Formats: sequence, C-alpha cells, structure tokens
Amino acid sequence: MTEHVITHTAETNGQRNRTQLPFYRPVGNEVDLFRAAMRRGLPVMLKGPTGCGKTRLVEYIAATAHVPLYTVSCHEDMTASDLVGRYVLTGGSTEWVDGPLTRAVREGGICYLDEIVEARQDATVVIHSLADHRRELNIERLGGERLPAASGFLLVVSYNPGYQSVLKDLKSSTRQRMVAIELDFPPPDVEREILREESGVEGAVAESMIRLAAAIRRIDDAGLREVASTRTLIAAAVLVAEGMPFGEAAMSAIAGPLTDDIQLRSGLSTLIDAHTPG
Amino acid sequence: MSQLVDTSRFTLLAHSVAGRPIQVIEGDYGLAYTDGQSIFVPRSSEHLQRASVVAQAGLVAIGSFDRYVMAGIAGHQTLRQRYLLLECVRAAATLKSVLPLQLSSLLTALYDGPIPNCPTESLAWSRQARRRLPDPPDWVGTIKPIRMLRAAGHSDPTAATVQDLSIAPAQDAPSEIDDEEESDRSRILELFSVPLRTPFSSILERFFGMGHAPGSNQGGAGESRAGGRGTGSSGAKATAAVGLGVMPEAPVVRVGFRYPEWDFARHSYRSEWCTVAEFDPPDATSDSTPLPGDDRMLRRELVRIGLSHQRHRRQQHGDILDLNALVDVVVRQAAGVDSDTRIYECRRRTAHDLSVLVLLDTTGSTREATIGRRVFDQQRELAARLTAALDDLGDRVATFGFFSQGRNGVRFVRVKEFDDRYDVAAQRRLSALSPTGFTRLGAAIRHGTHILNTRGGTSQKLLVLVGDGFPYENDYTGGYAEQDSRKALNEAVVRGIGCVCLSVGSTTDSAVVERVWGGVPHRRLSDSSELARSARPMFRLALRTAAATKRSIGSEKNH
Repeated sequence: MTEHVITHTAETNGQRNRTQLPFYRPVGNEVDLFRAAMRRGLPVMLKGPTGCGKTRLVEYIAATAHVPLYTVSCHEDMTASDLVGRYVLTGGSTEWVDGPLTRAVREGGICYLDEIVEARQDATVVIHSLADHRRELNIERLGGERLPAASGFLLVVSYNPGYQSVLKDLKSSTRQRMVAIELDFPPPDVEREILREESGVEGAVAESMIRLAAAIRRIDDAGLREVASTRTLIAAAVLVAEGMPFGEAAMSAIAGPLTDDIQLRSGLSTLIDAHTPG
Repeated sequence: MSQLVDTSRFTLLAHSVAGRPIQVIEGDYGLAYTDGQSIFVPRSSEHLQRASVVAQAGLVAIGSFDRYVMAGIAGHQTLRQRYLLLECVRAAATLKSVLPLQLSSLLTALYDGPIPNCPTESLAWSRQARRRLPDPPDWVGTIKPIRMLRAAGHSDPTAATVQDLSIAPAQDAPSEIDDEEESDRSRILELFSVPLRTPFSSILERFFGMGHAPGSNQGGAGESRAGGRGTGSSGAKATAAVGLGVMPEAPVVRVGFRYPEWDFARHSYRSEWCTVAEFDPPDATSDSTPLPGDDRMLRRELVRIGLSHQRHRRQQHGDILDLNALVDVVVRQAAGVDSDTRIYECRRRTAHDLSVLVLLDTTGSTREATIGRRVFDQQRELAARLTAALDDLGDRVATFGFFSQGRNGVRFVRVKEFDDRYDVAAQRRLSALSPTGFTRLGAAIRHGTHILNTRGGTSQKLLVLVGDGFPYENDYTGGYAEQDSRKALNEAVVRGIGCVCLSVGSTTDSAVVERVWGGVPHRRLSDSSELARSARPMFRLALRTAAATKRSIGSEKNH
C-alpha cells in the first residue's frame, strides 16, 4: 500500500518526504475543495470513518503542492508541548526543540492532526490563534514568542464522527475555525479501482472483497469495533496478491482487527466463507 | 417438536444480507423459511445452509413478506412457489452489491425473464398462469405466509387489522391448494376478508396470534404488570417497615428521602411527592442463587473507563521539566557521577476516578420468564458481573436493588455500598434479592443521583440501571411515568452523572424504552454474557455526554 511513499519519520520528527506521488482517487470534489482552502490558508477539517482515506488525501495534497507534511496522531495523553515543542536536556543545559506544529509554522508546511478529538482540549487550544485571521503561534514557554505562520502553512485536522460520537468534545470554537470536508468509503467501482491500484488484485477476488466489505458495513450494532474499511480491504487484497488464500487473508486483515470476540469471529468466518470466490 | 439449534455462526451473514439482526435456527425442517425474526434452516451441509440463509435473508431485506401479499398467497402452494422464485431474482438484483458473488449468480440464474420491481408486481406476475416460471430449487427454501402473518401480528400490534388483508381475486390465478400449512386457512382468510369485525373473526385473530401482543401499549403491558403485584419475599426489614401488599398506597411512615415528581401535563414538579428509603436485604441463606464468576473480558473492556490524569515524576519524556530531578542531574553531573536523565514530569490517565451505582430492578414484572429463566435472574447475573468487574478494577461501585409500593414506598435494598468490599456477604445479599412491587423509576433515578453525588466521591459518576427500563405503578403510568423518568434522567445528566440502561431478556415494548431512555445509552441484551461487548462504548458515551452537558451548562451560567 505504501510503495509510493518513502518515510523518514525518525530523522524528520514526523515529516514525510516523498519520492513518488501517493495514489489518491478522488470520489467527489474533495481535492478541489481542499486546494481552494489551501490557497486561502483556511484550516481544513476532514470527517469520515476510520480507513476511508483521510490521511492519504492529506499526503496526496502535500505531495502535489510540494510542501512538507507533519502528521501528529493525537491521543489523550498528548500535551501542548508535544505540538509546540519543549526544552530537552543536552549536556549540562537545556535546549528548545520545536514540535511538529512549530516546524510547520516556521517552514510553511501542512500540520495534520489526525483524530484530533482524542487529544485533550488544553492541548488543541494552541491551534486557535493559527486557525483564524491572526495565523500566528504563541509559544508561552519561549517567553510568549509570537511566531507568524510562513506562507504555505496549513492546518488540517481529522476525526471520525461515528467513533467519537459526542461532538461536543471538539469545542465549537475550534470547529468554527475549520472548513469541513466529509469523506466516506468510496462507492464499489471506485473501491475496485483503488484495490487494483494498491494491490494488483482484480476480477472475482476483487469483486468478492468489495462485496464482503459492503456486507460487513451493513452489520451495525453487532458489537464490532468498526466496519471493514478501505484500508483493511487493501491489506487483505495485498495478502491475496502475496499468495495467501482469500479466506485466510480476509480473516487476518479484516475480521481480526474488527473483534476479539469468539462468537463474532465465528460469524465473520462464516460470512467470509460465503464470500470466498470458488 | 425437534430440538432447535441456534446456529449463531450464520447470524452475521443473515444480518449483512437482511440489513438488520436476524437469528438463524437449525432444526428438522423440510425446507428453510423465515418468520421475519428468525430464519429456520434444515440440517444439511454447511454450504446449503449458507445458501438458504442468504436467500431467506435476501427476501427479508427486499420486503417480500408484505402482509397484503402474504394474505394473497396463503393457501396456494403453486402461487407461493412462483412468487418465491420472482422475489429471489428480485433480491439478487436489488442486493447485487452485497450478496456473495457465487450465490448472487445462482439466484440470478434462477430465471432469465424480466425482474419485477416490488412484491405486488411479483404477486401479480405469479398469478399470470400463462407466464412460464420454473420451480425454485429446494435450497432457497419456502415461504410460510400464515407464520409471517402471525409473527407480524405479534411484533406490530398496532398494524392494520386483519380485515384489511382482503385477498384480491385473480382471474387466471393457479388454483392449487397448499397442504403444507393449516388446511383450513383459505376459509379462515375468507373470513378475514369480511370488512366488519365479527365475534368469530376476533376469536380467529386470537387463535392465530394476530391480536395485541403482551407488552404492547394496548393494555397487554398493564395486565402483565398487574400480575407482578404481590408480597414478594423482599428483605425482612423492608417487609416489616413497608408492609408490602397489593395496595398501591401502603400505609407507611414517611421516613426517608423526599423527591419531587415531574407532572408533564401541568409542566411543573410536584414537590416532595415521593419518599425513598434504604433497607438491608433479608439475611442471606446458604442456598442462595449462585452468581457468575470472574468475567475477564468485561474487566478488560472496563479497565480504561473512568480514568483521570495523574502526575508522574522523573519520566523519560514529558510535558514539563521536573525541577527536582533536573537539580539532581546537574548536581550528579557536577560530581562526575553517572546520572539518571529522567527529568520530565507528565500527566497520564492512570488514576481511577469513577464511581458507579448499579441499580437492579427487583420489581415484580421481572418474575416473568424468557428462554426458560426469570428475567430477574438474568438481570441479577448482569448486575453481579458488573459489580465484580468494577470492584476488581478499583473503581468505587455500589449496588442496590429497588422497587416501589406507592409514591411513599420506594425502596432501595442495599447490596453493597461504595465503601464495602464485594465479598461473600455482599454476594449473598445480592443472591437473596427476589422480585416484588412496582417500578417508580423517576424516584429511583433521583435517589440514585443523590447517592452518587453524596457518597460517590469521584469526579466521574455513572448510574447503571439494570432492568427493563419500563416505569409502572398504579398511579404512575403511561406518559406521566415516561416523562417523569425521562426528566429524572435529564436531571442526572445535567449534574454530570452518566446514565445507562441495560436489560436482559426483556419483553418491554421498544417504543416505550426509546421514549424513556432515548436520550442516554441503553441496550437490550439477550444474555448477560454479552455485556462485555457493549459496556465500554456505552459507559464511555454516557460519561462523555454527562461531562459535556455539565460543562456546557456551566459555561452558559458563567456567561
């Protein structure tokens, strides 16, 4: 899936350098909308279920615009320092090190806060001054330094409204600063194309994989953590392309991540058997 | 009757095709069929059963079992088979993107003619004797119209009455009589087609289960609840104090906690309207009901619920510098000693900051039995699992049973207080509970809120009601009871208390549950062991909603 992208996250503090353009197949007008927002420096909020292509869209936009991308996977223990930067110990003294947000602001890159609702509000509130007309970052720990955003800086956040169902958790003052782009799983024909591009799988196997995903997406409220995403579908298809049987690939890449429950796994196994091409 | 086997491995497959949960049961059936709620499959090879499940679930998904159509094909085997074939082909076309590829092809190949657009068109086409249609293969199963009609009558008592099910006469309809189902159905259905309700048709309706189902809002629920009256063997102390009986207003001394009740008609509270008192249960006997053991899966699911931030010093990474650690490092470096470089301080969500009140519905209605066990026993098992898991995790948990006998006789029976251990004595108290009395839900929720606020001692609080969630008492019924209960839940949420309703084996009308509990997470489980699957998202949602509501109300006040 990531053969187009070479990452050097360790050396670049989250920045992704690309040698090739990531594959992204537009479904609607999301790319045009994103680029329009980017030209005017409007922060973008990507909404959509897990594994529907939010991150890939951002990578694609960053690569086509030739700007650095700093991705931060938000979590509940993340603090403002993880975004802005902190003092680290070097020898006998301390030295300030920029966080990914500060680097993006200085260099004019895209800072992508993935699953922003997972972060605490006191961590995400630092983006406020960047997300409105001021376009500057206040760094309290540097004596209140005000860092204006370089040209090309763009703030992008993503979240999954189905998973984090209490919308109030993302403060309305934060939401109001964003341009929302809603994504969903691609329709079957587009998903088929993505599968072919990402894994090389076609024909009955690809068709069965697409149908299996559609079937799992119809099962709501059965105790599954999520539904089968395009990402898991690609993973299963890649395993098939590597010579694994359809059933085993689907069990490992689709059913496995969805549940640990024995009864549900048995149900998914039967579902996969039914969809296994003959 | 042969022994039924629940083939749960097929349920997700059926659900994925039907678009809604549907049970699959294996037994000695000639052909597969469905009653809309379950699919019954004969014992045969796995792939044949799978094919039957897909075909029948497909029929459910596309609405093949329309009541009017079922009335139209009842009694005519050939007509039924022709209709089945056309509907199978229609299902294959409609559900093209969802059905397994092979089975989709098989269903499509059943008939190469035009595809009807709706059940009515399928019925019309199947009546056209000149239209050549092949027989459907055995693996697609069959349709049992009378069973469908009966099941529809049970599940939807407010649906059109049977006299609406008139059979449209067909000029060239095949006229064979079906001998698989009841032999007199044609005559019966003719009677059904009589436009006026007659005493005889009413008897027939009851015979075929087409009347109002128990638990409906047409009186069934009320009568079944009334059956729940009586002097149950509640706690000895409780019995002595309350004088349990059938009287809705038992003569009680009004000692306890007084709470208002919401009168939605007047749009105001009735102040100090209910009295709630707490009692200990009777002395536990040695032959008490055994409770379930350790539920590891539930514990694992709940371990990340209700955590709050805790300072961690001398960390490798962190938000701010830990000055003490930093000074130590500098001193040790100056002294030329190898130093520990963990100089940061961070805050992580590791502290348990949750109090949970488990309120177990011990009212008389829970004496009803489903799948061979009393609802009460299943719900008690659920409460036991929950209490044990939370207690093990170090959360503060209290468990009470509750019932009522009149507005001044709302009783809380103590199983475990927040500061008690969930030990053998507490387990005996829980197993000694038995169902009695009524459900004055609003007062119970208000007292639960009070207990959590005054004894919880944590910033995150959760009220879990284990019961059917149906408020009922003689002077506490219908809209009044529902609105008061909903109001009490709102009051709790506004105070920052997350509320959840869990029921097991309940037969309460889902519309009532939705009206009362629609604003907070609620779920009907078919077995207490299913709790692990749904507990975490429900509890997390309840806590987040309560926190967000409290926060937004607080910020409104500040403005």
